[in-house]
Amino acid sequence: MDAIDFSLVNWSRGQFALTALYHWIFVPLTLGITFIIAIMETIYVRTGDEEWKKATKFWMILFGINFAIGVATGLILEFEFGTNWSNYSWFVGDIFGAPLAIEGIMAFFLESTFIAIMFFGWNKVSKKVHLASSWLVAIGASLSALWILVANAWMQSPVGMQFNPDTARNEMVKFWDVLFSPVAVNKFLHTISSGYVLASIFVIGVSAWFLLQKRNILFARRSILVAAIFGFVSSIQIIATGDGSARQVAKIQPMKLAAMEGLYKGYEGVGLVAIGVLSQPEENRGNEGNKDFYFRIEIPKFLSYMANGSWNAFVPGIKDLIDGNSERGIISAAEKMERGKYARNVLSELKKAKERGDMETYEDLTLRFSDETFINEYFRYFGYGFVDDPARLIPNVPLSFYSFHLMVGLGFYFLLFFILAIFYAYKGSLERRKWFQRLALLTIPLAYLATMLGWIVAEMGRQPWVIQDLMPTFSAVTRLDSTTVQITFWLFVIIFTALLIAEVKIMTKQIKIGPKEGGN
Amino acid sequence: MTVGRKLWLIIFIKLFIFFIIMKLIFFPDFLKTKFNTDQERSDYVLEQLTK
Repeated sequence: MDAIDFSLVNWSRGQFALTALYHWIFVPLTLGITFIIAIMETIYVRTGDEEWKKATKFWMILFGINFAIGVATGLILEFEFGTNWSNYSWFVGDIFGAPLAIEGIMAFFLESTFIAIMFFGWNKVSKKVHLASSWLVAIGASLSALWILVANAWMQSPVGMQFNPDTARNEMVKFWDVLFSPVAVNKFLHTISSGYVLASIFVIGVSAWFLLQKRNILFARRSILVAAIFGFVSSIQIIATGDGSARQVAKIQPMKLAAMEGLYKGYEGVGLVAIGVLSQPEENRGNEGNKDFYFRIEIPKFLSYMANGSWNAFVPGIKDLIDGNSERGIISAAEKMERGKYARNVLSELKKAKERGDMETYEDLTLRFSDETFINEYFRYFGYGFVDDPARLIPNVPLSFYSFHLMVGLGFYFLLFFILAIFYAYKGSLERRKWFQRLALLTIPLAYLATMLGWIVAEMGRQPWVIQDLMPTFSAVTRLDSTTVQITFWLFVIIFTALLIAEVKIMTKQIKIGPKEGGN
Repeated sequence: MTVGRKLWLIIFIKLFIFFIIMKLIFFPDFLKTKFNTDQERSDYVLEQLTK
């Protein structure tokens, strides 16, 4: 294999991370606020109370600003696939193409069509048609997210496909396996719920600002109540799907789980670290995987339960996964690398046989890629064949650990926050709780932070894989001049920062104007 | 300028930058521009995966 230009790989990864995270600033608010708007409009249609129409229209304007500025920022990611990640784009074949095409045709058009009615249809269509449009916008937004998350889940857990050695592409053979893989289901529900929580916090925070200003009190109280109930239900869903995700990660990406928990050596009945500070012990293997703790507070045996549904189950650590653990049936990284190299070698021999016109060998080797034993024993480790040092199989442990724990901590804080909001709204004491109003404002950036941390855990924790066990990130990248990637990286920094500033400025101005009487 | 007009302006400027400047100048599809047929693309990626 040619020497890998890690500067190119790192800049390409940095560029993708930058664009994905900027894109994700806009998406979660859209996912959640559309449901809050639909709920408010439903109450308006049922009660005929103009105050609810006023609230609906106010939040609709903020949604419109967010949607207009955020729309199409995700397309940049598709550009990057074709330019910077050509080996990957080709290798994934129609697995990625099909869900994205469905997203474009079905969800995007559903969402866009009904957005037009939602914004321009007041007094032009009946109340019920308008309400139906608002609900369809909300459903369409979440459906848009479904397909891209299915594609992402496939990268974390590749299922339902067969590799075609002739074209070097994976071909989808079981669409439903791809769509309903447990990883996809959990990822979809967990991610959209995080959007619902973020939007709920946004609505509560902005409403709290009105309470601090002592204006639009009824509007603010009602908005807080709707958002707090929606946020509370979504928080419960996040916890449930987070638990499901942990089990999937333990099964499919045990290295990611070990990094998330800073678990170096596995054992039975492993506790879940509630709070901890990582250290670097003296026994240094020369990589980031060898971490221990200066201090930690654990929930006894909880990680074993989360990962395997049993309090005394064995959870492998980084050392077990690298060195292997025959007692536990874990094969070593070295063995996986050998099997991966063998699979790559078969592919190489197949290519050579085709080039020299040796069709007998070519057909014989082609058949191996549909042979279950070869697939399960060798091809499933294909990506390990690119790895020359087991240390490369360990993700960044501190980043995974702190991102995961901060995200979980914030998640539980948000649950408490929603309970408090519901309690004060029920008691009718929201206006008096100045500290809560200020806390609500401060919680808005924390919601954005938590959702970003979620992506960092998911994507950094699975390194070095772009497709789990099949393709490492460094073999997916296009061999370009890294200077070109640096130029576009900084261009994106400028463009997306300008968009973000525009979003904040326009939204702030609109919030200061506030809801208009009669909802007009 | 009303908020609606401002947003339409941002959308059009953004789409112009994304599709005309970024896509055409900085983000050509590597395999599509470098090779004419799928067979050539497959051969190139196979070469990348096996060398």
